[in-house]
Amino acid sequence: MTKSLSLRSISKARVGTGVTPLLFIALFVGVFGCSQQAAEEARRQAQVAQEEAQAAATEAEQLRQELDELKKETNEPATPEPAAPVATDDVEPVGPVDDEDLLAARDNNANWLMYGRTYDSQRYSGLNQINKENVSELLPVWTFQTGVLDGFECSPLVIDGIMYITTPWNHAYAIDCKTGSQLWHYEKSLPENLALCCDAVNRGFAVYGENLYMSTLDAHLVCLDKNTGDEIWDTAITAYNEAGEEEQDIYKMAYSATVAPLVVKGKVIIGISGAEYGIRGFIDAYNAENGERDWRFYTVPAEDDDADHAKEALKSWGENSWLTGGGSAWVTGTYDAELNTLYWGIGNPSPDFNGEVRKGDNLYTCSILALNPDDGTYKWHFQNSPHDVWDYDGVNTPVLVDIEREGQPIKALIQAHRNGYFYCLNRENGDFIYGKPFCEVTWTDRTQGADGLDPKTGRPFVSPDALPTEEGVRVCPGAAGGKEWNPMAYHPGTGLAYVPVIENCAKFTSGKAFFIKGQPYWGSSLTLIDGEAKGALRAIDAVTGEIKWDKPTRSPMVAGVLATAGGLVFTGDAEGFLTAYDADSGDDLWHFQCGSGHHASPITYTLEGKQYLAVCVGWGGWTAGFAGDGAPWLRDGRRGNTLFVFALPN
Amino acid sequence: MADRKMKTRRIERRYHFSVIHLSVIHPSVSFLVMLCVGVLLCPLNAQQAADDPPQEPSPEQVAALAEGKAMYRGLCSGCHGGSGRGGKGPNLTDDRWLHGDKDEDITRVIQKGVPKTTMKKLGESLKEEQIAKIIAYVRLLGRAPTDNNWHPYLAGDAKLGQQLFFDEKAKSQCSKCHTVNKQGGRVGPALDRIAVRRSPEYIMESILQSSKFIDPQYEAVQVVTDEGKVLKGLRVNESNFSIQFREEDGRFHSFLKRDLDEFQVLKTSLMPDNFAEQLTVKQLHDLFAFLLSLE
Repeated sequence: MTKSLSLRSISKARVGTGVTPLLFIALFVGVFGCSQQAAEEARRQAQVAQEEAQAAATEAEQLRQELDELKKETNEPATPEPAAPVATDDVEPVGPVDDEDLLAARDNNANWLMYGRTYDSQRYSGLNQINKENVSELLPVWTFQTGVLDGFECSPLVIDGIMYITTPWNHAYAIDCKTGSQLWHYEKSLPENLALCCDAVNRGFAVYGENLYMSTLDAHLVCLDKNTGDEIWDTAITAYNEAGEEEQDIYKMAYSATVAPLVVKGKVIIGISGAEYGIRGFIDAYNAENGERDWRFYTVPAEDDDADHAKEALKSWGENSWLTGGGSAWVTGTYDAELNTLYWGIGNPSPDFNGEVRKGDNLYTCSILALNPDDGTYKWHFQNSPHDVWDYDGVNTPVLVDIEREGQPIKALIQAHRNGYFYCLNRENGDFIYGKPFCEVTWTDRTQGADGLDPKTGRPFVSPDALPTEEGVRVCPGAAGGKEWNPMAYHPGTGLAYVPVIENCAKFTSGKAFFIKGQPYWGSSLTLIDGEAKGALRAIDAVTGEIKWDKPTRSPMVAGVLATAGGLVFTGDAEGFLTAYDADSGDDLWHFQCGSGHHASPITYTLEGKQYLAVCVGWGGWTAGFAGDGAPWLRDGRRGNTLFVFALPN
Repeated sequence: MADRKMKTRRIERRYHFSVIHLSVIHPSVSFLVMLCVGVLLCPLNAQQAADDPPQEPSPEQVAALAEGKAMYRGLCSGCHGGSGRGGKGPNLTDDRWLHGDKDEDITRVIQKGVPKTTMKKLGESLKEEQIAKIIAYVRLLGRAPTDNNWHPYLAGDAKLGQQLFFDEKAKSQCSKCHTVNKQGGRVGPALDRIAVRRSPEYIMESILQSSKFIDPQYEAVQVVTDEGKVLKGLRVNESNFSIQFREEDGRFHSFLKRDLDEFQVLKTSLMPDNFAEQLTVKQLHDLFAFLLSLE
């Protein structure tokens, strides 16, 4: 606690500037100086600097206390108004993160407290120091190399001047936001022979109290002390094996975990991965204090589940296919506190391409689930792709937005689904509002109903010509769908969702589906159409689903998006450029080559009153698969391991 | 001139290209997924047919290959691609084998996996004979589809073809842009092992109709600079904001797209399309024989 306090104090401008650099120079000279005298002098200076720093820190602490007193007296809000996002260095430290902090994350512009920034996962920040007028001046201020290659998909957290990141292979770091210095490093000890369909990735931490939570590739959930990186607890996620016994080392059954957890009211909520291997999916909630499991919701029902919804769902699985039914939940969901509802996107059924061995709708695969976060009970579901046979792994973030249609305010949920449709639902009850294609879509029958979906229910009219065959059939979207897992952003000012799009088609084949425990269970394959994969960043009106602007790109767009009150949209491309787009027009206003392809989501925060932009950069994940056929120019795409931080020049 | 035209017509009549959907014949090979070119047979003489009886694989071989294909698709294609040309995992159709190119090397990798990567062990799940079937299918992915019935109508001389390939004064000018055994120019793709990687009809078509299928990695671009200068070359790299290319003389250029008046990816190959006129029928077949010897 003392450590984090002193760090907090140092991060304040009036203390930090001047003193700390001197300290560093002094230390540097001290260690590497040529003469004994110089070293002596440096040591003396360092001591003076340290004393000064301590004195300044004490003074800062006193000032802070005085300020607190003052605030209590005047009843001023602790955080700046969202409308006036110019932060100052008087930002109140968050300290231990509690429910109130998480619920108020929207107005907390200095910090980034959860995966999607806010519970609605809009990835929108009220900061506007960096804006359309000055974004062209943006420069890197520091970088941090993790030394861990492979797909870098982390969405960092920033709390009180410290950034927390996770990397592939479950390393993690705390980094000083001011200097980019490492404060601690954690590495999970992982067993060999993990079943990882789509690279050894991780998408980031969740925070609660003084703890950080990371899901791991061997299907564990670990809790770390955010001040030291020490492991507080390590819980093995369990599942039942074929003999009906509860097993601990479920990575041997090809379960894994890559999701950034979501904390709701003291429960750490995660979804499992492994639907390329015939697992049976679930969403779990663990006690944030001790790591004990509070509840589990199976995304694929079992025979002995007595709940009404489960009995219904079981009917949608032919014979015993539910046993290996898939239904992963590997992207962080969202939460509406007012409705007390948790929303989660559920992935593809297993085997991916052979539907013959799993006849029926295969609930709740390729669906959006609404659950009660207190006990994991079912509220409603919407199945985007019943009986999917194209691996339209619909884990995409269900983003919560409030819109108005025909004069009626609607609590809506929007999702750019892998199946190529942009969906809008009523999040109170799951009612379908609209679904519009946002890329080339050929798997639905467009002659029936508007855009190939039943206008009342949203159920797709599947084109029989698009069903995979032994010889193969060309279907759009192809591999990874029309949009990968990487999150879109929503700007409440423009009313637009900014969607990173994959434009590609593939030849889908269906073949023998043979299940071998722990091994891939695809039921054949897909092959991207040669040289045809490309992408776009598209701005979609959340009220109508119409595309307002479209910026085509050479390669599929597979990085997350950030929208800001500066009228900007940030995202990266496969060739390594991080780009700032005009949120209104889509014009590119600034770009910077980060040295490896982008597959993570940029974030923004302030330190000492100044706005920063951060992004993890490292090509990998499954989307590296485009290089084989669809985008051969990405062959030998370099992996990366670098976190970049940008700011305007002083 | 009239002679030349006649000759062109003659060659094109001999090699009358017809477009067929190759995917129907050979679904596993996606390189030619969209369209591929088959060639109508020229009459073979009886002697040639006797020399080269069509090699029908045995029913056992067919079954083994089908099993290998099903296992490859179900277990391997997720990372190595349906076509085997890689993506998340390495390309299995080129010459680069990171852990050894012999069957036993590949067997070992499949059995034991590759530590520190996402290549899993399959040794406990698959029998050795199953792995052998997968390897046989992977080897097939690395080969172009061959239609055993197709032959050029003249048997060329590979030696003479080789001379022609490297002869700087000849009209073919192959080695100006292509390498074989590291000799030659680097504008176009290297042609080592081309006989294994591409079908004979594909090779012949590439010579006679060079723009019909251009590998995206060998596309030509043309730009008009803000000073009105027109430049053309082979694309080395392209991003959303910039283009890098090399002119035929080797000169390298890099431009930001926003600084250019015009930018386009050309639909025509940099390779000339008049070899039917430039070369004699004999020369063409010698060259062809040389390329087919590159296994």
